[in-house]
Amino acid sequence: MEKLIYTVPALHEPGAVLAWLQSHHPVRVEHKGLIEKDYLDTFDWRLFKAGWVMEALRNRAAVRLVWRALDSCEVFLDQEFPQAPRFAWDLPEGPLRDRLAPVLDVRALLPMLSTRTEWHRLSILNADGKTVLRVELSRDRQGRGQGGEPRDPPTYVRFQPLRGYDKPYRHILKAMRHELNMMPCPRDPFLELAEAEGKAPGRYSSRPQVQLQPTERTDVAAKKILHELLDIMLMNEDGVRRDLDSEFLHDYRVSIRRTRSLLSQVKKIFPEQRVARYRKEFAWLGQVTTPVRDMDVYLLSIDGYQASLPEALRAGLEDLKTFLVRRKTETHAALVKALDSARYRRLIESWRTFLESDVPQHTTLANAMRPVGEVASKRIWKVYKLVLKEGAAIDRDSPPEDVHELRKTCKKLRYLMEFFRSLYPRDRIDQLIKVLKGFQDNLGEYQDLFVQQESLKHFQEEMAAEGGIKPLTQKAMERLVEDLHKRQDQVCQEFAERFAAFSAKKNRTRFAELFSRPAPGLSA
Amino acid sequence: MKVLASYNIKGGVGKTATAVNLAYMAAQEGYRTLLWDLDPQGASSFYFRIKPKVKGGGRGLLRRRRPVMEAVKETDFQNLDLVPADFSYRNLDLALGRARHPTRQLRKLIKPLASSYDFLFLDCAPSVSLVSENVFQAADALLIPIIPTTLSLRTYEQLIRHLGKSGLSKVQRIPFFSMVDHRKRMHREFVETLPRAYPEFMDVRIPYASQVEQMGVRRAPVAVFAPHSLSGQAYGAIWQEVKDRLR
Repeated sequence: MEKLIYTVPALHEPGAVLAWLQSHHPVRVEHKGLIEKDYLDTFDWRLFKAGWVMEALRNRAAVRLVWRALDSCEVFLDQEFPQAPRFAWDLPEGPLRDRLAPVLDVRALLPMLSTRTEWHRLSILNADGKTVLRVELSRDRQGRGQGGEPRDPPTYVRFQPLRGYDKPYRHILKAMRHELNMMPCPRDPFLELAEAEGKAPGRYSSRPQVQLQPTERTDVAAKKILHELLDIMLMNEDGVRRDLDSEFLHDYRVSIRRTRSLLSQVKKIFPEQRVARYRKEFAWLGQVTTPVRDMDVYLLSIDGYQASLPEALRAGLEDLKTFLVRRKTETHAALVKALDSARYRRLIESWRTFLESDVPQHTTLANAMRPVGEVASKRIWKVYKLVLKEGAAIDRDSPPEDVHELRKTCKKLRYLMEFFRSLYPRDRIDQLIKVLKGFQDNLGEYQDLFVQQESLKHFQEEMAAEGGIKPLTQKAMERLVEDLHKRQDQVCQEFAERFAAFSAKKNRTRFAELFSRPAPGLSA
Repeated sequence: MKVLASYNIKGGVGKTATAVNLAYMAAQEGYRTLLWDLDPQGASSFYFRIKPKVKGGGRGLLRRRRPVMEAVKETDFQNLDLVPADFSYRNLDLALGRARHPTRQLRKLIKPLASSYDFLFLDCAPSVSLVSENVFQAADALLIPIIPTTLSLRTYEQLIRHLGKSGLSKVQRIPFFSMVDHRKRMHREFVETLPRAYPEFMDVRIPYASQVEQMGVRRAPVAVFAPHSLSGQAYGAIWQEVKDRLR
């Protein structure tokens, strides 16, 4: 694809390039001066992973968003807004939002890289005063690189040709290459800046990615995984405190859950007394985050709820929305207080010290020194068999608690498989994770539908107690509960089929092949 | 892609202003928008400072020697492109008459544009001709600016009859009052009574205003240089309602 970004090594100032252009063509200067430039992306780099870059050029009055492809610089959007949109739903309805929304989902756009830039935006005009080419000149402020060495950023020239005006573009391009020694920019300016700032776009993952050796000690391997989980928690903490979007808390909570799961699933690797204390403390931390997550979930669902209701009832949910927003504010304040507490600080500090301390040379703990390839398979195999047993016992008359129990067991299995994923042939374990995930989706939906009904009933009571509930709101919420119940029945009917697929002979053989023996690379 | 034609049998009623301003608003909202200046006088092209010239002329396009896309010019405004007028469009009827399905040529021509644009606005020349037959065949809706006078009403009735006879009564008609001068009694009366007979008339009206005439001096849509003026806001309201009616 054609490059549209160039550099002019010989001319250091955008002003010099501008002067050259002005001496050859009629130029209208649309903007000239210093601006703040942010590269917007979600915390987990969704735009970057889609091959996109979103620049937000801010001055006092407005923000100009330039959404373009990485490297090729095809521009999808170049428009001024009073303020930068944070969520997809802040964008005006239209094709751009349609394209961006599925990628952003519920994540916020945040400034992931920032710099101050000397930025000129120019229109090259023809004799009729018609713009035939747009040119942007920019030069990031000088600064220091990662190692403290002075950085001398180049002047970038970005062209925006206009359809139907190829000739003047070619003409100017040729002249600038010849006379100014302008060259195609080898790498996107976004990547240049990221490197200079020591940032690695795209690196965040909400799952531990640790590479384990089957022969290493289980306690060492467990500490590696747990440390990565702690890192993920801490990376998300700021976003949780500032409530930037719902996913910071979500990832934070999942890391807590994974930590607790590992501590209870892989036994006899750490001193029991210590582990018991951490288990208790992480259980506490999980609890203090739950009320906010609940509010997030319902706030994110409410538009869908509204759309699912008949037109006449929709207005009834406005009061519920108000109630949820208020609850969210209260619960979030309580959560921040917990994160500010000495108890939390002590937990994190002592946990980090524990994870970073060396494992003992000698230990009486049965599993600590065993190779992780052995312990992992044994544990996964055992939990897998438990899933089969619990699943087989469920029929149409089973109480929701049994399904809930099975769902928890499945989650344990999933976490174990993900922790120890690097010990097994990648394609084979990923295939089984996918099989498990398909089954979990069914169980998860069933459970979610059940919990939503309970919560909605609970909210009704609370709203009534807090100052009354309007008849329309009452009616709308009751209708929602009914609909959710119907859907739950449907999901329940799908269970048998899904479980049959999960426990099919083909899958049982695959699980047995992978986990009924130690991970490959260990001599039996 | 939705195709909207700014059309009236009568001339000088604000067709070009409608096409230019609504196309600009669609583009501002992020819709990929194309405006085709079908009027050989080339007023739309003029407003956007684009030369009223198409390589190979109207006949070249009709004979598909060149795809329409090659004639497209990007305006100075984000998301808004234009197919310029060409003086040869005045002979378009002759060229169309020689084709096999003379009334469906335009429809065929614009088909390949559907993947590139969300809206196509056609700025039509006044008259009833083969060209306008083609426009009726291609358009999802006709935007019909009408000056509140007796003659304008007559041409609107002519149009309805004509569409009925041509079996095109299903084309959505979106008439609205244009160049309304409230100092004139006849304007006030027509604006009051006509919608009773024709409920499809929009409530929003474009007032007679100097800003619209200023477009020729400024060579830009009203919303660019006078977004808060009465006419600027009226076009905004019309665009919102057009979108609603298309749903």
